[in-house]
Amino acid sequence: MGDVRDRPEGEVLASLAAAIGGEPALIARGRAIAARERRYGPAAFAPCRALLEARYGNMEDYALLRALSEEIRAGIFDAPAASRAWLLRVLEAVTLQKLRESNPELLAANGID
Amino acid sequence: MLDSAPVRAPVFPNGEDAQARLATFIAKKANARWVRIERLAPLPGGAVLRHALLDCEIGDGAWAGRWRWVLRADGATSLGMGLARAQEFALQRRLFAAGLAVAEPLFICCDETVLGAPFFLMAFLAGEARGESIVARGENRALAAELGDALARLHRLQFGMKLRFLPPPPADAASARIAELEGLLRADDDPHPVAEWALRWLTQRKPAPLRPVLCHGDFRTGNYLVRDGHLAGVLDWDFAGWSDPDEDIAWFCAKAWRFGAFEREAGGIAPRADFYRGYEAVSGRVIDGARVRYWEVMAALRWSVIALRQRDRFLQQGERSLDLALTGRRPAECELEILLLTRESG
Repeated sequence: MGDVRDRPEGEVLASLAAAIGGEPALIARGRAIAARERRYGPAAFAPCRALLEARYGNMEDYALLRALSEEIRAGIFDAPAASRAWLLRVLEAVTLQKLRESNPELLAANGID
Repeated sequence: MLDSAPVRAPVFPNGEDAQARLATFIAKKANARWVRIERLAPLPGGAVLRHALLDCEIGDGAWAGRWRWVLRADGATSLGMGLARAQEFALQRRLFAAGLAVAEPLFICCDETVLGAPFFLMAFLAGEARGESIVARGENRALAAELGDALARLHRLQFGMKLRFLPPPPADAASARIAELEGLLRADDDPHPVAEWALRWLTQRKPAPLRPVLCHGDFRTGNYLVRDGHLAGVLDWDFAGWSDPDEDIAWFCAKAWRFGAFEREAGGIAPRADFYRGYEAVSGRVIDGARVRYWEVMAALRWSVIALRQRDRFLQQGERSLDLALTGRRPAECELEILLLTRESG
């Protein structure tokens, strides 16, 4: 589920850091994101994908997230029912995995992970 | 619409031609026979616009003497949001005239043949602006109160028809902001389900509107100067406009602008109560915590959208900046904040 990751990808960040340099802290951050993405690999978002496929069927990652967005916009999850609990579980799973790769320090600061 | 303008040439070229053009511009504005540029050095900070420290000598006329100014210019690429330099210059003149702690704006140049981008010159104010440095100095409750005081003084200004270059005040600032952010999100290529959730949440929980006031729009640690522990000036007025006063208050308190000092909820420098105290003493309005909480969700969403726009300056407009590229990975931070805040608030 690679398309769940925000752009630019870690490898792009690392390449850019190598090519143009910049502040050491920024270079380190770009490299660290790339390294974590490599470590987590393509299966990082598999649990999120499983949750979404159970509702929308087998689609590309982009289409799954688009379907979810459209349902949110349509008000499907407005009522505080089981469907909203599911929604929040999906959103949380996606967000936490993104942050494990892009900013794990923020998760730690919030007492998460 | 995303701005697909090409990357501009460097705005602070070291070449003598550019400095000569700048000197000619200043001489014309100052009605002087000669101007000598002693230094034009880029200043750090400013992800959207670019700044340089300018030392110059003016040979004669009313401005005769040596001056230290700041040059504030459009970026190499555009965020596609906020005021143009001429609008910002006009606003900053009004604010300076009203006695607010802002640098005095001096000369505006919209002729891009001078430095390659619109710019204006303003007086130099000494002080520390870097958010990380200000927060690293620890708690400063007096500064938080001063900032609350300064913000309330801005919000109570009555300009009548004098700011016609700004979009008119919205009848419902929350609805207007939601519509703006929704439009920008729809224009993005990627789906953003957490942002969609925030839009839905904000739409359904809109508080009754307050009378719109002139807001800074980016009032936060990192956008003010501190000298000897006190407020020396408020910077970066390019996001100013009419809005709900609690939007500025919430933006200041948003977790994104605490620079890691999350426990000091007022900009990473003090407890919220100190900032609120300063604001309430001048405004006479008791801050409603629930309203501020609502606008903090808006702040997280808005910063997320701005981060996407910053990312596109790299991805779409081609500005090769690691800082801009890394900003593309920051929406997830806002999304976590949205999920935490909306979970707490139901």
